[in-house]
Amino acid sequence: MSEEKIRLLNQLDRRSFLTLCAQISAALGMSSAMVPKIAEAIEKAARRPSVVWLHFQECTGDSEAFIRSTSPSTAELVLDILSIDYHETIMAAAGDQAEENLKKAITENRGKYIAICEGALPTATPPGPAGKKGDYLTIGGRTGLDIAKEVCGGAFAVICVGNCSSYGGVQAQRPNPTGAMGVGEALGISTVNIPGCPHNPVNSIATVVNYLLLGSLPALDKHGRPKFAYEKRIHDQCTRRAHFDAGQFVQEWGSEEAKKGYCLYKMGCKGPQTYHNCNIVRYNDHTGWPIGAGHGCVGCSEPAFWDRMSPFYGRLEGVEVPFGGVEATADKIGMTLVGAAGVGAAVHAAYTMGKKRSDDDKGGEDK
Amino acid sequence: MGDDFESVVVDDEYKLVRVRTPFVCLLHWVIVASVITLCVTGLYVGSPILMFGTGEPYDAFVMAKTRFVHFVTASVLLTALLLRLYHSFSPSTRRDIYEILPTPSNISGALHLMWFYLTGKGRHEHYRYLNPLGGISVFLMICLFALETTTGFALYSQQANHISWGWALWFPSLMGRIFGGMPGVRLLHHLGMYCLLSLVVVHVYMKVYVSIVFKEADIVSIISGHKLFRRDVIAQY
Repeated sequence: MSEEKIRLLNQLDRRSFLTLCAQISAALGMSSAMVPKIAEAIEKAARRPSVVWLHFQECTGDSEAFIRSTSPSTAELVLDILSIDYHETIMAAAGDQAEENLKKAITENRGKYIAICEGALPTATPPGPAGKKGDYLTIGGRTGLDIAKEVCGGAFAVICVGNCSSYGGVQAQRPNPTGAMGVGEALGISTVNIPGCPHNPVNSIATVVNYLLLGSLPALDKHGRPKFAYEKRIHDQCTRRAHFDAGQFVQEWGSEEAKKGYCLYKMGCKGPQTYHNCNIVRYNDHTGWPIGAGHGCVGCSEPAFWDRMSPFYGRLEGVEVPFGGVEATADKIGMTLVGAAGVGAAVHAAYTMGKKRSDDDKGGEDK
Repeated sequence: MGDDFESVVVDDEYKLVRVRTPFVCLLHWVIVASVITLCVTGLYVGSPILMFGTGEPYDAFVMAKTRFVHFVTASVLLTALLLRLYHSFSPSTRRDIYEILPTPSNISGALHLMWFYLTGKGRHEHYRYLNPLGGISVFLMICLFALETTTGFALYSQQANHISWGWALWFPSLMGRIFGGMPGVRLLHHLGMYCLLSLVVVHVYMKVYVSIVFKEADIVSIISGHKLFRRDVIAQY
């Protein structure tokens, strides 16, 4: 047994390592027979995959989710499974030394490292004479666009974690003052998107393991999301689905229905429009997820969810009515349309009858 | 336009004229019944105001049943619409597709009729079949039906996990791209229903109006297939 392997095995708690392998196998939809092979693949990987983790416009929520993973633990993740060469939040280095690390990682492993992006890229130009494209995000004197172009250009694969790096997230919401975009859209490259707010570390690790195991990236859907995690609709796997089918709905927060765990459809749950596995793998060490905790889904794994899934507590999108900019729902617009047609018909009928009567009174010609 | 239906003399003033085949009448009422069913069930699915689920889920199942009725009715409606459309194009029946399309002559005819209906001035042309204004409303209705069926089937195929082939794979994503995600599709599905309903209001009103004012038994013709025509206007055809 090589020295390296012995060192690895000494560091690793075997039990939690195998737990991780089993979870990854489940997330990838493989049988339990694959668990030893996954363990072998991770152990045998000649060199742990070099990972460069970039931060753009975001809240670091995805790093938070990532390092709060308990199986594997943060230490196992950072030291044993991945070789995280650059990560602004958790790296020990700072300043020039940190930038040196980044340069080293991307030149030494050119074409082999994995770039994980967190956060959207601003592409707008700030006003003023000094403003240049992408200036809204500047790290070490360079724009985020610049850094992303250099790092993602030389990567084997670009994995976008969280909705911001995948599709722009909250800063890309209308009116989007900084011109924020997902990394793939901003750079015009294809990326593996692991959206969510935050993303679930099980999915990002499973994507990396898929690469270790098969040497390729997982199959993606039309939004660039791995199919193993984003192929199924939340509504179809929901633990409250029976209440939906039964017509049992929460109508008010804190009500008896809410306590009974009825369906949150009427409270604006976007489960019927959202594709994610969060109800299966769950968050926080597989203990909970939004609908399980009594809050409707807001569709955080879907593109532009801040615009298209809002209002989060209503069923249909709020639509701006051109007159006076009043927010109205589809129902209001529709009722107005039908009402207007009805009123028009009534007015016309009254007018015609009145006219007919006066014509008759006058003894006018028969119409 | 060939006089391919028999005309029956009623009296000196009126003539009974065949305007529709029983099949077309039947299709009309199938469409009416399915639209009503779809609106009622669709409104419940969109916003379940009435709550029936007092018992446990296993003996309630209201939403599931409502949605089942909605989906089955949708396919009935689609079938009826396709049959009706075929009927419009079919060489073996009276081709009424030219009365529906917004051609320049239809548009000018419709504007004349609209002017008459709005102001009571001008001449009211009589038409044996669809008048141009009615034709254009039917055209609008067809567009709305197309919108409703496409958005509806896009929403349906989202949960059609049992269909692992064909349209269910690409159709929702196509619609999602066109309308800005499934929430947009859902919104248009709702708005389309209201537009359709306001056309229904206008349609029913116009039929009642024309039947009362011109005494041509217009509204009965959708049941009997026959319409009364005054002899002095029928000379035009």
